[in-house]
Amino acid sequence: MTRLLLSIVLGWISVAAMSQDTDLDGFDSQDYTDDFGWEEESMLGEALPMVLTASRLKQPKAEVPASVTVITAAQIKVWGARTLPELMKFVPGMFVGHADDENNASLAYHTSNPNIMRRLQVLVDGRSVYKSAIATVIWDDIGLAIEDIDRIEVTRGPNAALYGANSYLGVINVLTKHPEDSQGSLVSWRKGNKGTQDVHFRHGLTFDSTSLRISGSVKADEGFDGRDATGSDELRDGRKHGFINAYVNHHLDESSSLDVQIGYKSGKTEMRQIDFDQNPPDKTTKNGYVYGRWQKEFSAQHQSHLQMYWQKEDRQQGKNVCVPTLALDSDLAQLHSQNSVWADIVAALPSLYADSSDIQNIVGGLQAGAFDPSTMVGIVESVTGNTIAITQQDLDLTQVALANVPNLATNFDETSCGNTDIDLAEQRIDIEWQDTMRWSDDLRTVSGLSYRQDSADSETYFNGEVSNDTWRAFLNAEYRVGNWLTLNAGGMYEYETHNDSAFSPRLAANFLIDAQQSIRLVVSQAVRSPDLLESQPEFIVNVSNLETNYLDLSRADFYQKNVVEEDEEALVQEKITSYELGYFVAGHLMGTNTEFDIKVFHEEMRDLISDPITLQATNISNDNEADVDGVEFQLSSRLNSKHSIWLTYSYLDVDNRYVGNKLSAEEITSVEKLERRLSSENSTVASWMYTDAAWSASLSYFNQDSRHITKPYERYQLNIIKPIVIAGINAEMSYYIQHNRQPKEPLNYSNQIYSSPNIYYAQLSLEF
Amino acid sequence: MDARNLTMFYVKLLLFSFISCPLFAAQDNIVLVTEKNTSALSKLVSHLSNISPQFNYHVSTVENPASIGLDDYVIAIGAKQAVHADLLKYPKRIAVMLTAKQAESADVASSIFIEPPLARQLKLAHLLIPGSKKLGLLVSNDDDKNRIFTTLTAAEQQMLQVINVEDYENINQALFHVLKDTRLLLGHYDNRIYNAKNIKNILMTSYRQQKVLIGPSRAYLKAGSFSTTFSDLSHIAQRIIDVVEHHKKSGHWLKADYNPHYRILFNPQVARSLNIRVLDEVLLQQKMGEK
Repeated sequence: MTRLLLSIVLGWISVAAMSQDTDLDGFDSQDYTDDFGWEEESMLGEALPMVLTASRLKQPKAEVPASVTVITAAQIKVWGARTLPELMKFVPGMFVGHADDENNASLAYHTSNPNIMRRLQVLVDGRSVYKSAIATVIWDDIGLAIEDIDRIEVTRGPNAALYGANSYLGVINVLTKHPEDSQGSLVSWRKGNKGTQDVHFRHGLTFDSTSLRISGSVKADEGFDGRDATGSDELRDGRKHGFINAYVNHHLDESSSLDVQIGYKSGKTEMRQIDFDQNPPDKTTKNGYVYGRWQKEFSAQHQSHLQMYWQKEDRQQGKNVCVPTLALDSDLAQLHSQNSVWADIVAALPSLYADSSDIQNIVGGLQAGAFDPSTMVGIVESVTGNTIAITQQDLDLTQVALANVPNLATNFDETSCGNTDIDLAEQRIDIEWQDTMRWSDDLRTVSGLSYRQDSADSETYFNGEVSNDTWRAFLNAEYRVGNWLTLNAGGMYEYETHNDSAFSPRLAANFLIDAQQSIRLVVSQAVRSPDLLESQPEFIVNVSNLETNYLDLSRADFYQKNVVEEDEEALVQEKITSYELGYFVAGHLMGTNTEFDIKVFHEEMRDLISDPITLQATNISNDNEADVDGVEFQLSSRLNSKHSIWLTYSYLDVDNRYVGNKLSAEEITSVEKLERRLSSENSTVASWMYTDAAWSASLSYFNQDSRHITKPYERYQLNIIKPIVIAGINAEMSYYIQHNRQPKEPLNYSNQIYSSPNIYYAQLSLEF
Repeated sequence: MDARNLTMFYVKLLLFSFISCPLFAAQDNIVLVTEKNTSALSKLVSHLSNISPQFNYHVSTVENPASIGLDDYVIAIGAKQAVHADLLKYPKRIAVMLTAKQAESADVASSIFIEPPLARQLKLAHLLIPGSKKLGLLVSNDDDKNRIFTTLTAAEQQMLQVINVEDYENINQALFHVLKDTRLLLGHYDNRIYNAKNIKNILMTSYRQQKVLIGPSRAYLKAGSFSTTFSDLSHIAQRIIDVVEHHKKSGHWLKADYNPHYRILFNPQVARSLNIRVLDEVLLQQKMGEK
């Protein structure tokens, strides 16, 4: 059925495009370049400069060497989305979910582990907001108002040739409105259920050659309604974040300009209370950035920019914990480094038996050295059901650890309370020089050099400060072979101090059927570099201000640690090779203005690191692979001056596997499931948009099948906007409602459920 | 045209005049008066000769003034020639290559304006970028707006969102307001707004918002405007003949007006970059002709 639909759509558009339209090259360029100077001389007084030169103009969509989805400010407004991840749901092949115990939205293009959103590059005006200490993108930490976005360009597929490492599955490039396009003042207030309450203001002004935009926002909601055993809304995933930023553009002279951006953001995110926590470990984040870009146009054919930014983030996440005193024993820590599975069982012994006399018998026997390894393996198997390896050396060390417990009967299950934190400070300095050169009518290059320093400071994760320097050189060339073929070739070479060097190439051929219709072949490769925690972990949790305990410690390390030993094999870069065959057409179809893009693809992901670095993780490796095949299309059609539609579909066949030899069958099943957990085999988005001076509206429908996720996902959303005038001020009222089918069934993890099917909010905006 | 070709052209013109004069002694003379000779002038004469060979064509420049009879049709090329005192004695003066505004002060029998009429540009814009939103128009002041509106019907006026540049501190602020909630920027011939200093700002700002500039004329197309209607030399020649022949037949002059002969031009680079598919020129011309 899908195939039939596609063939019909393709057929219609192609025929329409071929029959009604003409190739622009049919117009003679001499028509406006011949020697006819009367107008310039007698009317204008001087010749006009060529402003929209080839280096300024964007690459035509039919010649873009990738599949790209562009979401415009007008669509953002009419869809009524209030967060970036919500907008990403409209992108074919893009899946939005959440990690376990996390309230940060997790995105994956095609397939990825929801617990770590680390395979997509996200840029805001050229500044990477991808975090490097623990690779991820925290959407709430991006100080950006949805109202300030001009457009979002999503490159669907690897694009490391242009953007570098971590542009692995794709690139989300958010471009904010130029200050000149944000004049006047805007104040908006949004209020809805689920604790939704947002306030936003913006003011823009221009002087002679300078324009400025100041924007600020506070955004809050309560997140999911999932609950623990208490039955109430105990899943702490609410958030409240605010920011203020400024964007200044200054025209230095006729050929150069300077952009400066500065921003500060602060916010609190509620975190779920787990394990030994005595209070919720809510996260407070403060970050700031300074960004500058100097652009110079040396000639109509040659343009360059120098871009620099500095950004710093400080995350405070402290908590009070109560842990078994034994877990703070340095001898148990040594046992953990020797046999982590056995050490975890020793630490958990108090909870393994219901009867304390059983515990004392086992612990007493271990303390006395009464068990040999095979006996102990048998006991563990009978209690846990798992067969583990235990050596005599392990038992000897256990005996040493337990010898520290005075009066075993009363002290073995003693707990000690204290303070700990997972505070983290991150900093990035990035400098880039980019040069765009048009060598001839047919050949254009974009090249550049850049340097980036990522550093992080955390006693818990790194036992201090760590950093990684990256040097990059890139070159991309576009060559037009007549009017029928555009070739793109390019690559980026990266040298890192703590990871292997990498070269990420891309080759593309766009066969132009006409100016607005092409078939493209793209082969590209990219890598994801291990983050600072993956490459230099010293993950040690220190508990301070301890209450009185039998070890007589006021400060101690938790026995579990994740530290790379010298002889341990380092993690290497994840690699992807993508093959894509695409067809694009923009044309007139039965009176509509339509853009259609379809691609079939094959992706080979290798050396995947499927698990995040945690205290408990003992087998982090590059031993995972995935092959992804599929097809996806995107149809955007303006039916007439008021109505338009947006339709996307994605089919995915994910074949992922563990290729190492360290995991049990159960663990392999778990890790393989993890890499597919966000994705559906079939997913569809359909949206109708109506725009008129009197009112605007959109009605959208989302559907994902339940092949890999826990339930079929279906959602409708409606947004209505009504312009009004209040006391002479232009205003807009809007109402958004989202209806989820089966809201009480979780999407990715059990606690991610809503108590009611509807999410709604109303908004009032004043513009003056 | 280089000097040698230009010389050959004059030789041919003289020979043509010499040979044809005895045969068509009663032929009218059309004298094209301009400050200096250019290759474009040669092309214009060539078009005139092709369209209507029954006239004698002469060129008069400052360097090589021609003898002009009182009964000759004098084509004053450019705004300067249209007000030149030396030409006032010739009653059959037609001004070309001047704007409608310049023509107001020209003391001539008839004028052919160089710029396209705004109503035609508006129609082209509406065909190229259909939509329900208005078309943005920048004007220098209220007088300009009033003058422009006299050339438009009420329905056409309704299609425009007019912003007066005088009401704002600078062109950028005016641009912001004119592009807001409009689908494109419609340029009209006013070099206080559309000049070499402003054109970069205008084009960059509208392009950044994925909106095109239509018009004001062909020169702006080279800078980065998307499309315009344009009367080339053959169209100007045709209109000169129209005006002359109408006078010859009726004794009356056609009123000073825009050139009804034109073609549609595009900047293909802008169309490609903004992903605008352009209708076939013949189809567009046909739609342009529809009421």
